[in-house]
Amino acid sequence: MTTNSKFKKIMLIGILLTAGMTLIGSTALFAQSGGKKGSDDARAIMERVDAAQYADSSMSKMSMHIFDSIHSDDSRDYFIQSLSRKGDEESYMEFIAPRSIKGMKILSLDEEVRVYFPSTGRVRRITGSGKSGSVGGLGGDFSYEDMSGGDRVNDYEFTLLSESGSQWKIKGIPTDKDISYSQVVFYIDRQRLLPLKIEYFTEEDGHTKTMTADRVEKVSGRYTPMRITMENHEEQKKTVIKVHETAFNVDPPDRYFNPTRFYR
Amino acid sequence: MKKENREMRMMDATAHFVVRHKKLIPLIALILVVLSIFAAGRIRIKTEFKDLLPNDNPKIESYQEVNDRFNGGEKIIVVIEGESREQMQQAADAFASRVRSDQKLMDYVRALNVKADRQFIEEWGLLLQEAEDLERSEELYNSPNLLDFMRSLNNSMESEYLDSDPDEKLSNSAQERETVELFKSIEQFTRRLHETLNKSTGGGVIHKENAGGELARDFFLGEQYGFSWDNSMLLFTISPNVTVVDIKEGSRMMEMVKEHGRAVQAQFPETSIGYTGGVAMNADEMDYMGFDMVVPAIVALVLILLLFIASFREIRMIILVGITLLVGIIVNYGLIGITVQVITTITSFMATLLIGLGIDYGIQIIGNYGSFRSEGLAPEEALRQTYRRAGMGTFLAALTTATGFFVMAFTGSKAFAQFGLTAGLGIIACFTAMFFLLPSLLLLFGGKGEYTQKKGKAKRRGRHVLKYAFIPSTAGFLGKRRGLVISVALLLTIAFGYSAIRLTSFETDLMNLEPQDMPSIITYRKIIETYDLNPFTSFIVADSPAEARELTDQLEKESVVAQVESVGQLLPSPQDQRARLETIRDIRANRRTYEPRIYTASDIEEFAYEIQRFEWNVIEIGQLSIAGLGEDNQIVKKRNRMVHEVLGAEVGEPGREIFQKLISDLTADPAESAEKLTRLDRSFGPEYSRIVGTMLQADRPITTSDLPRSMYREYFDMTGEKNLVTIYPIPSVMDHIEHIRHFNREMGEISPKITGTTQFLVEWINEVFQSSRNAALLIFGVVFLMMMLTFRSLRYAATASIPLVAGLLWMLGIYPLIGLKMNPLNIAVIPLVIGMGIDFGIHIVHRFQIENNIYDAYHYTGKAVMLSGLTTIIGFGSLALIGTFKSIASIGEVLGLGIAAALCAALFFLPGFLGHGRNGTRTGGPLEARTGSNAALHENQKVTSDSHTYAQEEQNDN
Repeated sequence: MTTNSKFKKIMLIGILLTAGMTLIGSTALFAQSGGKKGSDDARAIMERVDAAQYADSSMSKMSMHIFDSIHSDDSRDYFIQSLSRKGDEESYMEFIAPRSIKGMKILSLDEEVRVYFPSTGRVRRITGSGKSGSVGGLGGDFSYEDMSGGDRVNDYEFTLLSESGSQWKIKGIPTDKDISYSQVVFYIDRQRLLPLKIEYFTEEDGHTKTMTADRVEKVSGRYTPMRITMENHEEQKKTVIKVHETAFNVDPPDRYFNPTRFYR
Repeated sequence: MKKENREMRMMDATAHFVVRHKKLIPLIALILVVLSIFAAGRIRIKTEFKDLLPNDNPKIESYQEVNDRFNGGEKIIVVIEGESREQMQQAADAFASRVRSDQKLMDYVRALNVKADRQFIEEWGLLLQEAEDLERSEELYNSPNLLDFMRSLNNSMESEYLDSDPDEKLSNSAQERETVELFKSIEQFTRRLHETLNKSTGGGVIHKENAGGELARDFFLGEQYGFSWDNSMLLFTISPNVTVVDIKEGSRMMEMVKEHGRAVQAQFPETSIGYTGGVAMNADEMDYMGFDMVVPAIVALVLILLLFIASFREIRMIILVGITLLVGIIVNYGLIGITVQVITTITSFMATLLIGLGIDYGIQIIGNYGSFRSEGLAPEEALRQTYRRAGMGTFLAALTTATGFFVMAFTGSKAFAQFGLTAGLGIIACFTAMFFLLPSLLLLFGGKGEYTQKKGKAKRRGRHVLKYAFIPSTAGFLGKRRGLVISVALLLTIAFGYSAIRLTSFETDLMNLEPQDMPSIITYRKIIETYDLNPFTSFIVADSPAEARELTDQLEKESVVAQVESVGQLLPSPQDQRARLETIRDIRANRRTYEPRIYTASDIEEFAYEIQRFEWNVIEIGQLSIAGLGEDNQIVKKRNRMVHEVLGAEVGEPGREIFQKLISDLTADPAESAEKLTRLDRSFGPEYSRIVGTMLQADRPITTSDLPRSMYREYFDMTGEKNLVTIYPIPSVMDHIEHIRHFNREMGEISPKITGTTQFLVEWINEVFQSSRNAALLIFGVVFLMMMLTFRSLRYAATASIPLVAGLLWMLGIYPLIGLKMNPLNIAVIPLVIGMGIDFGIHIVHRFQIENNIYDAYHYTGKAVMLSGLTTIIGFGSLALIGTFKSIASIGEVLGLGIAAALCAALFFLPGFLGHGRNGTRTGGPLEARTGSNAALHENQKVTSDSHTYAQEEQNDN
């Protein structure tokens, strides 16, 4: 088969939600200097937003709630704690719940993913990690594209659609052929440099998904949404990520990033 | 006055006609009854949603092709349950053998698929695997020794599931099923290995030369029977050769199938056999529908008769009303047999509906006739006065209701038009019977000399009857407290309105609308639970295997699809087949031949390690599946059964520990185990080589002519040109209307031709909302127009509508509060509440308009309104409480509750809106002069009162 998107998906939760809340975080610095008038062009705004999201390291406790239907109250719930460093290059995560996979640990390092199964005591190494696929490995509706913000500025061509008192509305058209969306529209909080809503469009299905971020708190000096919801209009599903605890620019112990010790 | 005189003359003429032909009329009625019974024989019962949709609906048109070419595509699903796999297997074989030897039954059978065709798999199995999988499994086909084979199998599993892209293996239903099948193969392999080695303790393996061969066959040729993941159930299918819409033939076939099932069960008493699928359900529904059409109606009839006995003195008359009603209903079914010829789920309760409505006309006739007779009038004169007082009113009431039903024909819905026509004809039939037959029966059998005049007053028999005296006194009391009554009414209406808007939920799981104790429903639920798929299939007819393949590829990627059955799965594309043949050629070229191996004690350690790897791999694959499929998936269930429940590093509920037990036995005495394995290997290796050799012989693409006959017949039509693709949704598709819509949308994007139950359901739901609204507006419009003509006052017409509007809102609000759900069928009958519930307001307001006094208005109309309401409530209540089909019972619930709410509003809140009028006074003067041309409409009400005398009326009229 092709790539190890399953593990990548699982890792993404740890990497992308803690290594800087890629799409939705912002630094205190930018928050303070944010709201730099409507004359900013769209690309510059997005660069500022991306820069605002970067953190060298982070730790987080979060949960992911996957609703197989937007009409249902029943969800599959996963609780995870994660660490990251060097931006999103190295990350470690551990499942706290559900009970059946409690203690499963995943280390992403040097383009390799290692999974530790507490039930068998084995570590399995998986090579290769493409950037396609979805975080739906957990059944969720976040795709890697939705969550990865690193190259976004270069992967899209941005247009400022409107500028209201509190937000910018920016349209992104992908320049990278591998991106599955035909268009992405960001609603960015000018004051906090935080995308509070993102709409995703595809050629075939039009408006397919909407991500919303709320419960914004200031953590380690940056504005951080403690709840992110992705509604998949196409599949009538939704995924909610709740951040219960997070900190940025922490100094995680080396052992969590050591392939021979991370599971001990 | 001219009009009134004309009406009187018409009624007199009718009375004259009945008196003159009082013997002929029952004779004609008898002939009509006999003819109707014959005509009713033409009625077909149709219970599916597609029967409610118009034939030009695109989904129905698509289904027509499925029906024409594949007899509806439905299958009889046979489920055998038991403790022992062997017994279930034997029972399935015995069943198949019995069916095949029954030529009469085989005429009904298109295909019987009890077990997989191992010869086909042996010849073509490798061509059905992806080239990538073949390459990865090359080692597996080159490992003829047991130990090598197990090592290769572990390597293959780890490579496929654990070391690369498990996402593509553990994210959807098809992958879930495939993985469970792999686990089943490993379980079976391990179980048989253990059994064989254990048996060999007594030299078993030496004598059982073929043990290793069975091991090889089990693994390479896979599970032959359709066992569930927990081996508690075996499933196979019979495809009928008769069209699924021919319920009669389907039922006949089911009876034959069940007969064989009973014989097999007697032969294998530890197994139980169940049936489900469209044909089995249709057959069961026929049995249950018969009950719902008859029993609630009989119960309602008995209860209504009891109510009448308690309310009227003349039992003889009550019996005559019952007989007349029965005649009206039978004639109605005769008319259905002549006209629409079909009874659908929403017309199945027609008898109960007519009992509730038709009896009302009888109440008016016997109420008046009895009163006039009690006043001492001779039968003929009493009848003439009855027609004069009650005739035109009853006629207009029947006309209003029938018109209300007939206008449903203009809703644009086939189902509503059928219902409107059926109900309208029923009203006419019952009214005609009550209007002509009942009076003639009263003349013939109503008694002649029981009433005597004493001092100018009628002497009555002494039996005590209910007088409903509380009705006028309550109305009088409430009429004086308008503010309070209106406030309470408004509060209740707002509260129930809120409940209706916020709490109403909609039932879309069609199986919840069926009788829950129906055997095919019980089996259906077991299948959903055990096999995790929904037997409500969708279909598409493909023009070629290539199209079927393309469709299958798209369908299998859909998360809402649990399973696809298609010839596309058996006939890969020429391009794929070329690539696979190339890989097969490579494997064949490098093939290792079997060389017997002598196992040593150290080999046993390695052997035990490979078994341990089995366990680890099974556990880890289960862990990974949780990410994509949730904790409750079948892979995890299967793993927990084979091993134990895994809770992180801890062990939860115990499982069978099949691997640990084998390891334990193997390592107990390594030397002995080595000797046994050496022997086992000698029978395994050659059979392995033979099977793999045969599989690797594939050197050309598979064609349709290579398919086993039963498979071919399953997929292809008689011409061999078209083939059927069957789609099983995941169970949760039926949980919510939006899930069904989503499923249909996804299917529609793949092909608009995809059709089936879920598509019909959504089409019907779309239609029912629109048509119900249209029907409600049309009926209300007609009724309101009639009220305007009757009252000649917008105010009174609006006031008469209050009980109906309040009743409707209350019903919709109470419904969810008592835990009931609207569904695609009962929503269709809401408009009927308008047609029936409006009567109460009309009667009371009309009388109030005459009397201008609330006490008198209720005094004269209360009892009749109450009895009319109670009879209708009894009719629908019996349906709601006794109906076995939840769908039909829910129709009774909606109508019974709606009528009860409208009746309560009419009796207890309408007085507040009307006020008390001129207290204590009674208006005089000729009735016609006071009320205009329609004054006679409900004049009859007054004569039903025991305290009001004909003499008084005569005086008033004069």
